[in-house]
Parts: sequence; structure tokens; C-alpha cells
Amino acid sequence: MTDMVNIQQISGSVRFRRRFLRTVYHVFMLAVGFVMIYPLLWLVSSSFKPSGDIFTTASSLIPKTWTFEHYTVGWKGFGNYTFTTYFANSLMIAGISAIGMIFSSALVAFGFARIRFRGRQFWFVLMLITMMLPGQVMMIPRFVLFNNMGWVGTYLPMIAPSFFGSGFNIFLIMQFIRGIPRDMDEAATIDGCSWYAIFGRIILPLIVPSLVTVGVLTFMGSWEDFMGALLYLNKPSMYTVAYALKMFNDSSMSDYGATFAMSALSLIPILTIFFFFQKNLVEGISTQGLKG
Amino acid sequence: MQKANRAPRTLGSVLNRSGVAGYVFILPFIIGLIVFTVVPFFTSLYLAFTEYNVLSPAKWIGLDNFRRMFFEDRLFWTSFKVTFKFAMIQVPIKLAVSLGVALLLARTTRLTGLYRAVFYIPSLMGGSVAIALLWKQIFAYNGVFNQILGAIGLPSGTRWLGDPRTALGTLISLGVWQFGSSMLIFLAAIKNIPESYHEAAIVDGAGPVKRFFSITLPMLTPILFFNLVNQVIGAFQAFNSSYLITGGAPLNTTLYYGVHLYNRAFKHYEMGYGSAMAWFMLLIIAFFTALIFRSSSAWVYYESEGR
Amino acid sequence: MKRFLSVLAAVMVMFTLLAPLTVSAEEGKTTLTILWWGSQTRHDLTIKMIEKFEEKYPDIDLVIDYSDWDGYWTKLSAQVAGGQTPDIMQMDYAYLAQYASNKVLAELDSFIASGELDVSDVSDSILTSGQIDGVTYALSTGTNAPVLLYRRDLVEAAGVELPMNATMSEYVAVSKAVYENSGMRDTFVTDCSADLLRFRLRSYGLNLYNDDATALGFDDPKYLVDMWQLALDAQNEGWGMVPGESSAATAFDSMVVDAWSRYQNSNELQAYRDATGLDISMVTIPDVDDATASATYLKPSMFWCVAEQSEHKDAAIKFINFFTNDPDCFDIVGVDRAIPISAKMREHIAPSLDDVSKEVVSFVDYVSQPGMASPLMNADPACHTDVSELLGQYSEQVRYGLVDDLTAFAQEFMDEANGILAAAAQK
Repeated sequence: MTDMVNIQQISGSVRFRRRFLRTVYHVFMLAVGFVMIYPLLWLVSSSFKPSGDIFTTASSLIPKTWTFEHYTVGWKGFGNYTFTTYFANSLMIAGISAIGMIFSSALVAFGFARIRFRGRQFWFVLMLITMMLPGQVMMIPRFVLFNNMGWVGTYLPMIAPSFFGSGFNIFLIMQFIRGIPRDMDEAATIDGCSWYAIFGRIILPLIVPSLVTVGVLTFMGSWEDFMGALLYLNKPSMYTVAYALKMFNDSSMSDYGATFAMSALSLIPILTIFFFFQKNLVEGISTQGLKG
Repeated sequence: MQKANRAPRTLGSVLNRSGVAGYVFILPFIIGLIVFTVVPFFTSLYLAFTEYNVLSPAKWIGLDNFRRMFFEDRLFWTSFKVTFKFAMIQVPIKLAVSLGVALLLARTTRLTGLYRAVFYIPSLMGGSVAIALLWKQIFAYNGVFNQILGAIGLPSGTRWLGDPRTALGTLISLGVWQFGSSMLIFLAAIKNIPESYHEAAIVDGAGPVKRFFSITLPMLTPILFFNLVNQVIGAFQAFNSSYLITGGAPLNTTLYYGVHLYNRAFKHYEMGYGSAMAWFMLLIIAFFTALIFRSSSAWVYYESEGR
Repeated sequence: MKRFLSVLAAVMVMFTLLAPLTVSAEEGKTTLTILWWGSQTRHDLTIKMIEKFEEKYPDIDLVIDYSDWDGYWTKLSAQVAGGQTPDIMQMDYAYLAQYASNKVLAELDSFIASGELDVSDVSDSILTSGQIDGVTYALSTGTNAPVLLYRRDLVEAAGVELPMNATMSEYVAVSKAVYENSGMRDTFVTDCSADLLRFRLRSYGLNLYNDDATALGFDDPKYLVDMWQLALDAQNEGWGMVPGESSAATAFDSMVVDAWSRYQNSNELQAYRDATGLDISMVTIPDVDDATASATYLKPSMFWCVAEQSEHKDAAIKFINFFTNDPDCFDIVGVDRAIPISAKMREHIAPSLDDVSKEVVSFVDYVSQPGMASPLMNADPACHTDVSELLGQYSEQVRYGLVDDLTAFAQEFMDEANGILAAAAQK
């Protein structure tokens, strides 16, 4: 009898402690979360303030007077092209790049992580070294190269390279693959599976979370790529969101309201993609397979 | 790997030899390297030994750029030291924060999805003009941060971005605040740890702390290693926060190497000198990366290598 | 896996098909490329103006491309490096010497001589501003003057008045009064930039550089010392901005939260009024008390240039001529690229201007009166960015109170700057 009471008391206090910890966790997360999200709130609220109020009432998150002018003026874009065009262009570039990057990087990463072949070390070190050169000094030589290839004025310089992997993403996926035990591929080899089958049937499904991560990061990088658009696009019909966003600012005249309004809108696609894919992250590998 | 010479030499069997298959898999990378990278990469190396203002052809000047860098350009060493300090402070903090938050967010509650998005948002807004403006606002003399300090009775007269002692720290905090991408990578890695490992450990009676140190942490080391390498490279190449917010001020205490390089190469059209600076940086980064790789055998655990 | 490879192959094929997709010119038309920087208004106006141009010159087809100010110089330099210099490009005074001396720009004198580029209504001083070593490489798009923008409301509230062309001590007196009344400080004298030093030098009939830019245009450290001393006094007495104490995130809100006055250009009045919603006015840059000349000048706001490698220079000239002399052009663009350089065009647009533009025009007219401005200095040498950055470094140390002997420090700066100029001149 006394034992029963004790157990109840203990489990009661455990439950209480748990609830207390959970509350602390959520309060902490919400507080930190506010700090994290503050800039977004500021951006959105500023985009609804009249131009004259943006900086004079910068510390207030609620506009004194609301205006949608920045959205209507901003969306008009420049000349004969509106942000509809820029969004369509950016979505296409970022989407294709992300897909290309996922596949090419996964392939290369598998090659480096699983197969022992002559020259592997050499190519791997080469890959790392190309990551180390500050990109700014490659810009002009690269422009000259793409110009000689006749690619300037097309989207190719902004899309094509992602079909050949990037050091960062290859290395990332490699690390994931190296975390997977070899027992399974060994068993598969004995069953007569080729390297290609091992990659496609065993490894690929297991590294989905890392592929999602690579996809999201590539999409984001491509979405925000201002330099590529600046250098390689030379027709207003081809401009991207990242490029158009900068054009509200001149050396002497800057329309911050429109910049903020369009910046806020430009976050929507990336956030949507993030929400959509982060589910994938949650489900990932741990709920499928690999239980034994 | 044994040669498959007993099997009939079909195309399939040739393609499946390790020596061949390896190259098939990394072929995209090799093609990309040759087509897109080799030429610009070595062009920039050549340019490091030239005077090149972009507008007219490069002139070979031998080691002049390097002599100028090491012996004449005061800002070269200043920016080098700033960047070194920046990397040494920011990398560990950012790694710890992103790992910590990823661990907190790995548990699945109803709000986790929201939290993840919220914590990721700062990285999304990374180099935007809006953030640069906002950061200036927050840390201005009469800014929000000093107002909060004043409200809770702390000294509130610090010129965060204007005082040579605090400016770099303020920028570092901006960098740390954008931990989203490495958090995302950690999250993916945590999710990649098979639940069966935890289940087995629970059966063995291991508590959460023990499980963290004996399962989660070792299983995360490959990704920790990746994030470390990646962030060291990133920190040495840092550019945005200084360029957009302080421009190197006050008294060059926030003049990153990347900003100095950019100024030389694009503001002053000294692409040759900029290339020389970039190649020196490449050597420095390579040195640190090599150190990290050397050390990795001691602390990185690869399940596939079953150590 | 197979599907995956086939997708990859398909993509590669797609690329090779996409690559040669470049626009080919229409039959019998001359195609010109044009590049400029600007903001939304300028992009819209310029595009409309170009449509008008194409309507009037149906055999010329302009392929347009534009960017923001920061990106422009990267984009343009990359295009030059790739041999793709646009036929017509917008140019800034700070970059003119650099682009001209590297033979990127075509000389325009022969087109002026042949009358293809009609400058009969343009004053000589404006033409000279586009010349390097006596050769015309650029034609100004419009005229500007440096101004001191100030908060009229704050000055009135302090019960003082800022005259149209104040002396430095008059300015300082107003600055003190405004500071005592409102707490708003000065960022003009405390700026200590190359521009500020130049104004001070011009007040004595000097310039930052000598005529051929082989050395600084002065050899007495007192100009620097005076400039720094005034800034230090301002900081110590409270009315000048202490470095790092500003609260503004942009130049615009600095006039809302920090400073009651600012050095800008006359065409920026509208932008400042719009962005702050405040009563902002302008006067000329204050001259030092013992000035022997006016520091103010009229300057080109920006230029049009033609590429040296252009195959259709004559067509490009037609465009620049259109922008200089055609009423149809200015009916569309107005004073967007500052006040038209042709006297006829100035008269043509005058009646249709809005109030702020009228204010800007009358300000430029005021400065244009005899004796109000002194001649524009030569275009700065390419190493000006180096010298001006160097001065920034020195001034910062002074303003942070790290320098005891200002004269020695000024001499040190002058020696170093002269070194840079001499080295650049040798090349």
C-alpha cells in the first residue's frame, strides 16, 4: 500500500517536473524566437509605413499610418517588366539549380565517400582547394570565360554550374554517407548489386535529409544571387528578383519602402519551400528503414 | 578491391570496377572543374603576378604585388589580424549555438516546425540591405539595444558600432545570429541517427546525458567536422557584415580581409593586387583546413569505417 | 539510376541547344547597346525616352540594360574586360579619367567638329568638364552644384538665420544655436573628408591636386590642421558629431535623428524631402572667413560616353545628340539627370517643372551668376580613391583623439599622399 502511494507521488513529481521543464523550454524558445524574428517583423512593418516614417519611427513595430503604396509601386518594377516577370525568372533559375545540385552532388559524394579508386585523394583535395579561393577574384576571369563560350546574356552561367556539383554540397553529402554503416552495401555486393544499384537503392533513400538540406540551401543561394544576375543578364526581360531589388537604390535616391516591400515578398517562396521540406527533415530516415 | 577479371568483360562489369565506377560517379565534378573552374582559377593565379586594372590587358610585374602586400600595405596586416580574430571568436560560438539549438529542436513537439522556421529566418535575410540598416539601427548610440540596457538600469552609453573595442564584437554577434544554415545541417544529421541506437541504449539503461555523449555526439562528429571546415573557410572569406554595416570603421577594427580585397580589386580596379591577396588567403585557409583534417582522425567517428 | 542518368543527359542536351540562343538584329537596323545606373524613376523615364528615340530614328535599335549604382561599376568593368563594352554608357566624374586613360571611351571632338553632336547651346565650361588632357570623351547629362542641405524648421526654432552664402563662422554660430536649442549636431565640418578639404582649398583658389595631378595642390599643412582643429573644437564643444555616436542608418534619416545639416548635391533636394517628410532647404557650401574665392562650382551630374570599340559610333552620337538637344527627350525625362546643359532645353522645360525642380533650377541659376562659383577643377586622377581613403584614415584617427601634433600628422599625410600621386603619375 505504502509502495503504491510512493510511486504515485514520484510519478506525480516527475510529471510536474516534466511539465515545468516543458514550459521553461517553450518560454525560452519563444523569447529567443522573438529576437530571431524581430528583423522580419521590422521589415514587414516598415514596408507598410509611409516613406517619411520608416526611419523616424524605426523602433516601433506598428505603423502609425498604414500604406500599401510600396507594394503597388514596387511591384510595377522597371520599364515594361513587373515583379511577376522577375519572380518567374528567379523561380525557374533557383528551381532548376536546386534539382541539378541535388543529383550531381549526390553522385559525386557517393563516388568520393564509398568507392576507393586511384586518384580519389587528389580530386578530393582539389575540390577543397577550389572552395578556398575567395570568389571575388574569379569573377572577372569567369565572366571572360562565359563570354567566350557565348553564354553571357543567357541563364546558363547561373544554372549550368550547379549540374556539376559544388565542393560545399559534395562534402556535406559525403559526410552523411560516411555515417552510414557499410554492412548494407557489403550485403548488397554479395547479392550481386553493382555500385550503381547500391547508390540508387540503398544509399540514396538513406540520405534524403541531407539532399533536402542541399536543395534548400542551393535554392536559397540561387534565389539571393545578385552578382550572377548583375554580370550575366543583359536584358530587362531576364532580370531576377535579387537583381531587381537592388535597383530601388541609387547613389542619391533610394526607395527603401519599395525595397522593403519587395524584400518581404521575396522571402515568401523561400519560406514556403523551407516549411514544405522541413517536414521531410522531421520524417527523414529515423522513421523509415534502418531499424535493424 | 579485387579485379573482376574472372567475370566476362561486359560493359557492365567494366563499369562496375572500382577504378572505373569511382570516376563515373565523380565525372560531373571533373567536367565542371575543367569547364568552369580550371581556367578562371589559374587565370587568377596568373593575375596575382600582374598589374591588371580590368580595363586594359594585364602587365606582368613578378612578385611586386606580394612585396607591396607584405611590406607596404599597412591595411593588409590590419585586415589580416582582424579576420583572424573574427574567425577565432565567431567559429566556435556559432558552432556551439547552432548545435545546441539543433539539439533543442530535434525533439518533435507541435511547435518545433514553427521554431525551426523562426530560427532559420535570420540566415534567409543574410546579406540584405534591410538587415544592414536594421543592425545599424539596433546598435546605434540611441538605438534599441542601448534603450533596453537603459531600461533595465545598465550603462547605456556604449557606441557599439563606433567604439573600436566593441565594433568587431557587434558584427560577430550578427554572424552568430545567422546560424540557421549550420543548424539546418545539424538537424538533418541528428535525424539521420537511427532510432534503434537510442532504443538499444535505453534498453541498456543509459540516461539522456549518457546517450548524448555515447551516441548522439559521436554520430554527429562527421557533420561537426564538416561545419567546422566550412565555417573556418567562410569566416576567413567573411565580407557582408563589414561591407554593408561598418565599411571597416572605426579605425579599421572591422576591416575584414575580404573587404580590403574587394576594395582593392573593385573600388580601385587593382585586380592583380586583389588576386595576389586572394591567393595568399587561399594558402592560409589551406593551412588551417589541413590542420583540421589532420586532427579529424582523433575525434571524428565514421560509422562506415567502424572505428 | 537509369532514369536519373537520362534526366542528366537530357539536361546536358538542353544546355547545348540553349547556348546559341542570342538575339539577332533585325534586317537593316543598327543595333546599339546602352547601359546606365539609376533608380526606379530613372529607369522608367529612360525607357520611355528611348522608345521615343527609336520612333524618331527607326533605323536604330537600342538594346537596353540597367543596374543600380553599386553594381554598375562591376558590371561595366566586366563587360569591358570581356570585350563587350556597351556602345553607349553612363559615366561618373570619379571614374571618367580612369576609363578615358584606358582607352575605353571614344573621343567626341570629331563629332562635335562635324556638327553631328550639336553643342552650340552648351557653355564651354560644361564641355570642358568632359575633357581629359584637352580631349572630349564625355558629354554631361546635366548640371549640378554642391549644396548644404539643412533643416529650416530647426534653424527657425533656434531663432537664427542661415544666409544663402554663409561664411564659416556664420555657419558655426548657427550650428551652435541649433545644437543648444534642439540637440541636433553638425556632420559637415566634422566630416573631414577629401571633399571637405577640397572646399577649404578652393576657398583659397587652390585644389586638392596640382594641374597635372602629379602631387597635392598645396604644400602648407595649415589647411589640414585648420580643418581638423575645427572638427575637434566642434566635437569638444558638443555641436559637432562625435564619431560613432550617430544613430542614423542612412543618410536620409541622419537629418531626422542626428544632424541639422549635410553636404549633398543640388539634385538631391527632392529625395531628401521625400524620405524625411521634413522642411529641408539648401544654401551654398560655407566658405572659410578669409576666403579669396568661392568654393562652389557647377559640375556635371553624370555623362554619356561612347565606347571606343563601338562599330556604330555615328548612331551612338545621334542618341547623345537627341539627349542634348531634342525637346521630345526632355518632355519625357525632365530634370532626372539634372538641369539640361543646353540653354534652349533649359528654357524649354522651365514652365513644366514642379516646385522642387524649380527651386533646384533657381539655385543653379543663382550659383551661375558671375562671382558666385569658381571654375570646376580638372577631373580627379584615377588614384583619387586612394588619396581620399588615406585622408579618411588620418581624419578618423584625429577625430578619435589619437593625435597630439596635428601639424606633424598633416605633414605625414601630405608626404604619403604625394608619394601615391607621384607613383601613379609615373605609370
